[in-house]
Amino acid sequence: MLLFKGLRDQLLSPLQAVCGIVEKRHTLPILSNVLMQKKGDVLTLLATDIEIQITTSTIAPGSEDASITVGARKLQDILRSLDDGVEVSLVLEDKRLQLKSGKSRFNLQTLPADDFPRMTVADGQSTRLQFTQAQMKRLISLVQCAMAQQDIRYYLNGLLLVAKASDLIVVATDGHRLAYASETMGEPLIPIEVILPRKTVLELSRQLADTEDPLEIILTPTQARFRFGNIELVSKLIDGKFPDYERVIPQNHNKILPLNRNRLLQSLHRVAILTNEKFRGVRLVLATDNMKIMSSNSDQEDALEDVEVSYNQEPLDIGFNVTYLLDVLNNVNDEIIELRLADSNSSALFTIPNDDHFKYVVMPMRI
Amino acid sequence: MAAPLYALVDGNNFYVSCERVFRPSLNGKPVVVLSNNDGCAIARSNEAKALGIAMGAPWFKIRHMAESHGLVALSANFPLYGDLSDRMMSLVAGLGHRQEIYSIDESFVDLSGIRGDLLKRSRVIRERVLQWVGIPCCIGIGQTKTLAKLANHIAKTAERKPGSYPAELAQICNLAALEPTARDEVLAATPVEEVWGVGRRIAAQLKEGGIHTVLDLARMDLATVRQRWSVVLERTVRELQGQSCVDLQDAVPDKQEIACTRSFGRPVTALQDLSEAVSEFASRAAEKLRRQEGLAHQVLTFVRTSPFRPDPQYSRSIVVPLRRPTADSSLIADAAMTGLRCIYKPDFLYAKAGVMLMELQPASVHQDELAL
Repeated sequence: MLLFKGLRDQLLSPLQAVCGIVEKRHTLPILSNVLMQKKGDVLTLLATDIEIQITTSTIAPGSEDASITVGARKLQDILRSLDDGVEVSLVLEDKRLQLKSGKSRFNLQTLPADDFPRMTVADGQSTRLQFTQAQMKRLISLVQCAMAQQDIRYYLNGLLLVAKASDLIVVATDGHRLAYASETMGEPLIPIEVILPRKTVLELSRQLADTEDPLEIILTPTQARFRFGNIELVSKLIDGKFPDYERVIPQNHNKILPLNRNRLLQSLHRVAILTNEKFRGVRLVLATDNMKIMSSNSDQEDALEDVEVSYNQEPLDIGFNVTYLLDVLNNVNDEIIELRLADSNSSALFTIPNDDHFKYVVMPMRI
Repeated sequence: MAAPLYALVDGNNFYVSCERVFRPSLNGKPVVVLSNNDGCAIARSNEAKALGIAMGAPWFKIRHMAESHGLVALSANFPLYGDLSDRMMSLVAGLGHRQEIYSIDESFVDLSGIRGDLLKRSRVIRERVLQWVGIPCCIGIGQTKTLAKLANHIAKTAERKPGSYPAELAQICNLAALEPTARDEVLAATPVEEVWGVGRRIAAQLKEGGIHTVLDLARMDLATVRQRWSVVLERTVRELQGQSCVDLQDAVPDKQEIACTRSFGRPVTALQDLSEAVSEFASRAAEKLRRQEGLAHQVLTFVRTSPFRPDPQYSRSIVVPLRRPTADSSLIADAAMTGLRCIYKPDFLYAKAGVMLMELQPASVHQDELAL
């Protein structure tokens, strides 16, 4: 039974789109497989880890309908190792899937399609949002670094998505720093507030294109569905209460330093080499029109960078985890970034001049 | 800079010697000191060694010698040993200009650049420790720490087993002062497993390859050693050849992990009893953590039955992450108890339990948190 016959890339690209979420280790062996369903001229590919599910399709001429599951990673590895532009065929024969291309031939084990778990589409009130892929990709890229990872506060292991008035807002925090980004849409939005799981966010950031092509988001109380290009991604939502982000964004920090982002980034990169591997602390020491960035490690080595700034307030000495500073500087594109400080025990706020669509709060580290 | 020269000073049968300071009547008798709960012998007098009692021999296997050979067994008294160790170390420090306290009974001393008769200088220190503290010790001297440690082994063995080495090497052995041929003879008379850093497994592998003595090892090709074993063994070989690769550690580095574990005197089954033990271990470990001014990120708890009994076996450990790094006894005990409740299974005869604090950081570094 012929499942697919065509160019390698017609199969490989959709396969790569769905297989990114397949985990290496599973409790259910079938979850390391990809589901292939042929109906008419369309071959649908589906992969899931039960929390997220991705579906896409490719054209596959042929008369018979069939469905089967096969090891996602092996199929991907075989296709990848074939030459570009070669023709590939997939034939299902007696519970084995044969892949043929030129003089190569592979026989793969399969598991029945009926056993493959699929996420059911959640019922209930649904809300529909529509943006461009580039809008969402940009918002995610600005905040995703601040998401928590395997935190006991499970609601932090993801990204808060808020629609309020005509603003789409995303927020992420791991308790040490918080990133906020928003974009004003043309028209008022239906108000919503959901937490997307970390893995979903990373997958979206990987798959969304930097183009004006549309992205449709359908939200139900427990599920989010993202449709873009030829892909549908279904994800569970995190059921929890995200902390009040507005409360931790400082309003009255009066020491404002405009900084050349790229130069600061380079300085921090250099100083970071001699920080302690574990806590990666750097000190920023401010004096009139000068900022020193300092680090030292347990081998009694130290680094110092002098940065010219325009600053005329009282001296300040404040420490940070350099990783948190590098994250924000790496993820914005603007030439100038503003650092707002109060004192050495209060948070620091990074903003972009004349733009209140981005805020990054980071707590100091006492070194 | 002066050529490196190190001494290793090591108290003989240290725990037994400590006991004998306060009970001179034990002199000349076979004596062992037993581990916690009187499990096994952790120190043996020369007389006990002569009876063939091995290091770590379980007490129940050697108990009969109390009757037959007058073997005296003592429960360990670690606070006493620690105190005598401190006194011994402060006297030993006078031997050179820098000291690394390597264990309760051993310390390295940097002798580089020290002029005069080192043998005489060492003898003075040895006599002083014996007279002022009451502990007999041996001193080994070499160009590297590995050679100093080896020299110490030779000094001890020469004293305990006359005839094994030239008699003048007993008690104090300066390998650096020996003529090359005499030195090679000594190295050739020492089995390879006596080298610092050569464990049982590596020794077996070396012997399979025909490397039996320290001299064989010292003459090995460095590239081969690195390729077939590791850079660690290569360092050992270089040190045996007289090239110093490891300097003294002046400051004691902070512990990477802090553990508190015990074997129980009798098997324990009830969760209640295990809980008491585990919370006790947790608070002791937390105390040690605070002493080094550290904070822990994770708490590991383990329980296990005795593999030496025919009963059903069970052994498990679990790591519980702490919400934020802490040295607070109650938070650490809470985490340990949470872990214990997860891994506890009724009806097993538990022989050992413990708590380990992991991912330590100094308390002086503190990442502030957002007020979420």
